[in-house]
Formats: sequence, structure tokens, C-alpha cells
Amino acid sequence: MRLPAQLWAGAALSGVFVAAALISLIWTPHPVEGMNIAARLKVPGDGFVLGTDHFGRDILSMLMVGAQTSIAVAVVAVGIGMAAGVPLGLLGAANRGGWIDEIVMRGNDLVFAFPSLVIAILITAVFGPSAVNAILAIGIFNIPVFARVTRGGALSLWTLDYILAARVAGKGRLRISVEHILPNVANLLIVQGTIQFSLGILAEAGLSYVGLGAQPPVPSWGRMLAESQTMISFAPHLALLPGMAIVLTVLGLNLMGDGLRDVLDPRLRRAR
Amino acid sequence: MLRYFLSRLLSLCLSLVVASVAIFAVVEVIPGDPAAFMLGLNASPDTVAALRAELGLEGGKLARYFDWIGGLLVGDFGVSYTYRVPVSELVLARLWVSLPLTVYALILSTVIAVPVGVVAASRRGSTADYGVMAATQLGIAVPNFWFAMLLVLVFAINLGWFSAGGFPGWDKGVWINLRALTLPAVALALPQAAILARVMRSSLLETLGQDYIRTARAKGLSRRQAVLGHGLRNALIPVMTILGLQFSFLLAGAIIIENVFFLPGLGRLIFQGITQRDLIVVESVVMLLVFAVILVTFLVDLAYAAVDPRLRRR
Amino acid sequence: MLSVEGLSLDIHGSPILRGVSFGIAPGEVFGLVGESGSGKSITALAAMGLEPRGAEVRGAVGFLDRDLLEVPEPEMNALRGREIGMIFQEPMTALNPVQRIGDQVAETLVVHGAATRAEALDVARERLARVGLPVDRFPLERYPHELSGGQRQRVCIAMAVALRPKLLIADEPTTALDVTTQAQILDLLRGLVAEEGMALWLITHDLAVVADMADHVAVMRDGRVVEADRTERLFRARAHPYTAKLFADSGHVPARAVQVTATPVLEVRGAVRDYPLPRRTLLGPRPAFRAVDGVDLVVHAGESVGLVGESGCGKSTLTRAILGLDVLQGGTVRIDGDAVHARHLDGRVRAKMQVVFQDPYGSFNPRHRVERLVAEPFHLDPAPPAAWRPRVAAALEAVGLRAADGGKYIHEFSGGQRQRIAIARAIVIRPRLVILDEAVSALDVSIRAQILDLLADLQGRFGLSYLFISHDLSVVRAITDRVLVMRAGKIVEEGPTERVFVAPGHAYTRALIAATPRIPSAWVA
Repeated sequence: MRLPAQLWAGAALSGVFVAAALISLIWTPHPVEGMNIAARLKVPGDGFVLGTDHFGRDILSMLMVGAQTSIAVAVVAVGIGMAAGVPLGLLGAANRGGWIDEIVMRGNDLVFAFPSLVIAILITAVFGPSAVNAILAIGIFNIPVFARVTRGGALSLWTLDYILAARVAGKGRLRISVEHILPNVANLLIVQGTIQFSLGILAEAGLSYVGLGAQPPVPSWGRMLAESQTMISFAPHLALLPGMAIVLTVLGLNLMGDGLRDVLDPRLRRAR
Repeated sequence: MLRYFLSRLLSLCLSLVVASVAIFAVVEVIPGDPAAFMLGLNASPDTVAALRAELGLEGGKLARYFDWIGGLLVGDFGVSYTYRVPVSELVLARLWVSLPLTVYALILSTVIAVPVGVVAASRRGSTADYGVMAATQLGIAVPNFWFAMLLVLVFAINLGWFSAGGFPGWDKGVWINLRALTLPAVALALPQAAILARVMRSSLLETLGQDYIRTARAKGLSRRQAVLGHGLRNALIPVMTILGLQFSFLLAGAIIIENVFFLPGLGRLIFQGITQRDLIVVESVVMLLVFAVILVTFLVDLAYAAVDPRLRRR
Repeated sequence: MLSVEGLSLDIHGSPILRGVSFGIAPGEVFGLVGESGSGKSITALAAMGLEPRGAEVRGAVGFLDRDLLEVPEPEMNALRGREIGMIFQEPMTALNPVQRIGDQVAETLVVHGAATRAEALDVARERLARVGLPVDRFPLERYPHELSGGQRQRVCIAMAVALRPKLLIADEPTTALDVTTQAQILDLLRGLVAEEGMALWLITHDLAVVADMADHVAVMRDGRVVEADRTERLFRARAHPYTAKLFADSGHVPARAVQVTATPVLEVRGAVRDYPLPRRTLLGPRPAFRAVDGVDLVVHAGESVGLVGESGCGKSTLTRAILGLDVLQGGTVRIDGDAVHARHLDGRVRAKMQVVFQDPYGSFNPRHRVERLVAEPFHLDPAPPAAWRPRVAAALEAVGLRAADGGKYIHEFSGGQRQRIAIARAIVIRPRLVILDEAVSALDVSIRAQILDLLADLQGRFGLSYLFISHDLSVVRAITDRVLVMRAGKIVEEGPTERVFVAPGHAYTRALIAATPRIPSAWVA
């Protein structure tokens, strides 16, 4: 089977940013915390590959470390969403119409009523802004998303005869959920995971931009954009570069998600 | 139909009750003493006590909750600690910026996305389709606040067609304000339009594979007639779900976008509330936003029934 | 009137139709029969210019002195619905769910400019009345979901004949319907042909339906017409070997060595199952629907018992209760003397019965290998055999597969092979009773004949009892010793299979048998 081109393109694109984040753990072209007023607001190429900001910090280095923040926040938030959402979705589907299902669905509706940013605002208003609180806010919003996807996929599987066959073989609902349902909704979860990953990166950028995400001196793409805003007329590269980093990472993840969907969805596979 | 309406209404009320309890718990119970929190670390015990009395914090938690809810029901949101004016006044003034912005963006998003999605679906595999798919893929990846900054750079700073921010106020006339809201609305709408166009396309493609489209073709309808006459209405059902969700995204997005354009809306109010630790303002605005989202969900549910007769019987 | 000449069709380079030729005369009924995948439906779609994307069509389809393959699309649109009407297999999905039935019928007239909307609705009213949906009982404002499958197919027919076309193409129009409904729809089509002088092109897999309806028949296989003739002559001669085999398979009766004992294996007494319905008023009591209403049923060791009834009669609900999947509100189910309780059912008891389902595609987890799929019932064994692999291999060989097939995945098998695997899974723990829930209904006649033979063979070898649940009377007649007829939750008749078929006692049984299409016995002699 041929893998779709967009899967490769997406994986390569997101791979670049993951690699940048990993490299920045041990090496960056320049120290990110060092201010160097002499070298402030340099344009790209002038001794610094991507130029410097108003404190003379190297943009490339800050972007690399910023990738760390974005990726870490998104990974943990997806982890929270999956860890809580998938079991809830499986349980809900296994007891369709029962009280567990009812609670899962109503709980989902409730979280959906709070836009993730509003959750973040509430949390930060009370507990103060930080990267951890941003993760929590994004992660909580991911729970109903995964619960819904899992439940939806599981419900359609529960109507299939092989589930009946497993019940005739005396298997309980929990065991069937783990043995027959989970492996067959895994495709959906992988695809949804990449989507939520990219949404997490966007959400983290938004929260940092308004000052509710990672706090200084931890570099983050969103805050770099916020700081660049007043200088946009005379130093547009400060606004363009972090924005492009966000767009390319998210684009890469989305392409990867679409590619994975095409590869993993047996319905589409047959059609091709 | 009445049954369906009542059950949705019940669900609306239930969501509101649970949401209000959650907000109240987070804001007034978890931090311990809200008065001490609002005044910060250096406040003297006397000032804290005075604020406690002013905020009505003396009663039990349950009594305070019902006080709060009772107030909300009659439009009394309490008094802002920093502004020393009723929160309802603050909110009402700001609502006249945020709500038009959200609706403007929602209309823009729909007007752009639906035709684009329909064209892409009905010419599946054509250059136009690939162009739409590529453009929307990019659109989804663009953060709206960054897009807003780019719009300012191009249309305000370089071309000078629009102002870079600010809001004249409705008493200055409609057009000047709509003009001021245009860049923010475009910044909000385009990324959402990208999502909506993709949903429209895939939903229409799915309905076009249905048996009743084949039936319509066998009756003598052209492809175009079948798409518009039978496909579109069925395809709109999932699109409405997304539209409902988009309202909440746009509302939340407006909070950020208002900061880019220095618009005096709810978003600015809420951030001022956070920096000044004015919990009363934060609590009320969050409740209002959540109420709006729940209300829109309810309206979407009613719209389902209007489009899909199968729901009406339930 | 319609002449298909040398019609060939490729989809993305793979040939689907190869030189199909036949003709239909004005006012006649033409039957096109074949098994699934023979290309009969796509022939009709190609003639209508509705072939799927990526299809390349060659040859000629003459209709009223024109070649339909050459007619430009706008003129084809004008032709479809006006000169040629078409109805399809699945009435449940063939109508637009969000449009009123009156509007859908009227649309045929409006789109051809034959009437204003008001006039069109008048015609729709008249046409719907003609197909058996009088406006006083079925107002034009009804939506499709408010109608049954048979009623929806009537709406489709009204839509297709609204402009009195010269040809009506009916693609498996009754396959998704119950026999009594099928008989009514076929009657309706026959009546319309006679009244309107319209030709009918009937596409079906069912030889008996063709025998009943058609003046001329063509038999298709693998994209070719293997034989075509006047119906009676073709049925009597069966000149082509494939035609002869199709006949033999469709009437196939497996050889069975019956060893019925007097020991009951399954005993159902007074079974009652209610389903709660939605409340009618906001707080009133929930009304209940009684799906199974005091059913008694016994299957003896070594016996094959048939349970027949139309959709919605409660046979599936009863099956689920027998299998211990649903709780009964009343009555008892005993298997080999042990009571079956859905809430707490011992694996040892459950192991005495297994089941084979209808759909060979949905019956298996696609991610497990066949050996694991077949071994699943060992879960019921308190001490699962350490050497389960040889037993799985033996079961696979017993159903005519190879032991090595256990290492493959399910998508590597055809529908018939999958049904064999389902049977292997059912017999691997040597149950006393196997419930066959429409187990051969989805299969083509040639595969069905093989599976029936296999079931007869296994019954003899392992001393199994079968409860054979089906809507298909001919299959039940071929393989059971005793039959029960179920209707609206009750057993209305019970007796030895031959007696019930030859001399049915209950009016409903008589109606069922009368509604079942049959090839005239003189033709097959």
C-alpha cells in the first residue's frame, strides 16, 4: 500500500519542529536568556540567522525553546484528554442509555458549554497564570472531545454481530470494550489525537499571547507575538517568524492527521 | 414537537444550573476568602472585613449562591470592586461591542464557507476543489490573533484602508463602527470559515453518495438540481452543529482579538478584571459567556428540528 | 423498444460488463437474473447514463430510435423520469428524509415542466392513490420516516410512473421487503404494466419472482448474458449449464440423516418480553411494546426446528432471550434442563448453545486472526484446553477449510467462507444447540446450497440440534423437521414442516405460503 504524500509532508514538517525542540534541550545557537542590547532588533542574516528581538535575544534560539513549550503543553493536554476521555467514552457506550452514559454525556455537554479559553480564564483568574494552568485548561477541554469520539465509534461497533458473538461466548461488557472495541476505535483516536495536538498548540499560543500561558522568562511563541505587536511597523520579522512557526507546525500536524485518516480508515482504503 | 422543545428547554436549564454552580465553586469557594484574594497580600484585616461586608460574604455559601443567582435573574450582577459601578452597566456597554463583532464574524464565516464548500464538493477532484482544500488547510493552521496582526500590518499600517484599532462608539453612526469591526471580524472569521468549508464539503459529499440522490437523478433531475434540491438540506445538518460550536469559538476568539485591536469589549473587561483581581467582574462575564453558548446550543437544537422532520416526533 | 447491444463497461480498467445484449419489447416484462456481482444492476445504471464515476461504457443502448449512450446529458435528464422511470432495492434510503412524499412525487412532473406545482400535487395525489396510498390515510404531507418499507417502495413507484414512462426499470424492488409485502408490490407492478402499456425491466436474483412476472428472461453471470429466451422455454429447457446449476441450487434440499430423540434440548415456556416506549405525555407512565408474547418452543436433541415470521414479528427478540443476552419479563428458557438467566448465566450452561448470524461481514473482529476468532467460545470453558489450537484446526477442517487458514485475517475470505468460519466458531466447543439466525439469507443461491449441505453434514456428525430462524420459507422447508410460525409476538402455528407447508392450518401461514413466489411445478418437472 502506498502512503499518501500528505502524510510524508506532514510528518516531515512536524518532525522539523520536534527535532528543533529536542535539540534545544542541549544546544541553542545563542543563549535565550542573555540580553544583548548592542545586538538588538537585528534583521535576519546579520550575524543571527533569524535576527534578534528588542533585547538582542536570538530569535532562532527562542523559537527552538518555544517549540519545547508548545509541544510539551500539547502533548500533556492530549494525554489528559485521552486518559480520561477514552475510558469514559468506552464506559458510556458499553452502558448505552444507562446512568453512566447519561453522566458522561451531560458532563460533556457541560464542558462544551465553556469555551476552552473561558476555562483558562477562570483557572488563571483564581490560581494565577502559568504553563501548568494552561495545560489543565486545554486538557480538560480535550476530555469530552475524546469521550465523544470514543463513544461514537464504540456505539457503531456495539451493533455489530461480532460483539454479539463475544457476548454469546460469555464475555462481559468491560472485557469486550477492551478486547474488541478499543482496538477498533484506535484509528479514530490516533487521527483525533493529531487534530487535538494541533489545536493544543494553537490554544497554547493564544493563551500565552494574552499572558495566561507560560510566564517569562520561559520563551513561548504566543508571548513572542504579543511582545512584537508594538514593533510590528518597524520590525515585522518579530511578528512574522513566530507566527510562521505556529502555522507550519499546525499545518504539518493537520496534514499528518489527514494522511493517517486515509491510511487507517478501512472504508476509505477500500474506496481507493 | 412540543415534547422535543420541552426536553431541550429542560436540558438548557439543567446546563445553566450546573454551569453556575461550577463557576461559583471555582471563583468563590476554592480560593477560600474572596475578599482577601481580591485585596492581595498587604491588605489590613479591617479593609478585608469591610470588603467582606460590602460583597455580602458574611452569609453561608449556599445562601450566597442563591443571592448571586437571584441577582443574575433580575439583571443584578453585583458591584465592581475596582470600578465602583454595577457590573451590569459595565457588561451591557461592552456587550454592544463583543456581540456585534461575534455575529459579524459568524455571518462572514458562513457566507464565505457554505458556497465554497458546495462548489468544492460538486466539483470534486477539480482544480477548484484542490485549491479550496489547500487554502482551507492553511486557514485552519493560522492562529486568528496572528492573522489579525498581519491584517493590521497590511491594511492599516501599509495601505491605510482601516484604522489599526479602537472603536468610535455606536453614537457616532453605524458605518464607521462597522468599518472599525471589519478587520477584527475578518481575522476571526477566516480561520473558522476554513473549518466550516471543509465540513460543508465533506458533508455534502457524503449526502451525494446517498440513495435518494440516485433516485432524484432517475427522476430526471440534473446533477446540479439534485445537489441543490436534495443534497444541500440534508448536508446542512452536520454544518449546523459546527456553526453552533463556532459561535463559542468566535466568542472566545473575540476575547483575544479585542486585545489586538484595542476594542472595549467583554474580552478587555475580563482581562482588566483578572489583572485587578476583580472577581465579581470575572465571575459575571464568564457566566454571561457560558449562558450565551448554552443558549446557542439550544437554538441549534431547535434548528435541527426545523430541518429534520425525524426529530420533531420525539 | 429498448435494445442493448454489445454493452461493455470498465471501471478503472477492470472489466465489469462484457458485450451484454438483449432487447425489451413495448409492454412486456423482461427479467434479468443473476447472482451478486454478475453486473445486472450496473447494466441498468449504464443504460440510464447513471454509471459510477470512472466507468467507461462502450456498445449501444437503442431506445426510441436513439442510442442512449450518445444522447447528451441535458437530453438524458429530460428522458429520465419522463420516458424511463426507475426504482431501486432499498426503499428505506431511496427517499429524501427531509421532504414530504407529495412533494417528492410532484417533483417528477415539475422538473420536466409538465405541470405547475399545484397541478403536480393533484397528479401526485392521484398516483399515490393508484399505488395504494390513498390521500385520506396517507396525506401528501407525510415524511418518509412515517412510512413502512413497503409503503416507501410504493412512493418510489408513484414517483417513477408519475409521467407514465414507456419503460420502468425495477432493480431488486422487493428484495428488502417481507414476502407478503413483496407479493403486493409485485401485484402492483403487474397491474401498472397492464394498465399503462408500459414495459417493465425487472432485475432480481430470485428465479421464482422472474418465473412469476416475466415474459422474457436473460441470465447474467460475470458481466455476460449466458442465456436469454421466453421465460417458460428457458425454465423448461435450462439449456446452459449455469442456468441449470442456478435452478438446482435454488431448490436444493440437503440430504439429512434425521435422528430425532425425545429429549428436549431447548425448552422455552411462556416467554414474554416488553420494550418500553417513549412516554406519550410528559410525566405519564411509559407504555410498553410486547415483542414476545407468551411463546412456547421446544427443540429436541438432533432436531432441526424452523422459526419463521416477517420482520418485526419478535423472532430476533426471542433469539436474544434464548441466548441469554436479554432479560425476559416472564416465562423461562431452559437449555438441557438448566435455566437461562440473562443476568447471571454460568459459562457451562452458555456453552451448550452457540449462534451463527446473518451478516458474514460484521460477524468478526477484523483485527484478530481466524484462529483467535474461532477460539473465542473457549472463554466459556472453566478450564480452557491447553491444546486449543488442534481443536480450532479440527473445527476449521470440519467446515471445509484448511487448518492453515487459522493464521489468516478475516478480510482474506469470501462471504461464503466467512459463514463457514462462523459455523466453525459455533461448533468448536461442541454445543448441543446451534441457533442459525438468518444464517444463509445474505448468501447467493450457489453458496447457500453448499452451506445447507455443510449444516446437514455437521448435524449428523456431531448430533447437533438446530433452531433455524428465517424469513425465507423455502430454506426452512429444505432443512427443518418441524416449523413454528410467529406473528406479532405469538406463535400462530406449529407442526411438522411438510404438514405445515402442504396443509397450513392458520390463515396467516396460508397467506405467507401463498405470497411466496414459486416456479410452476410443471416447468421444473
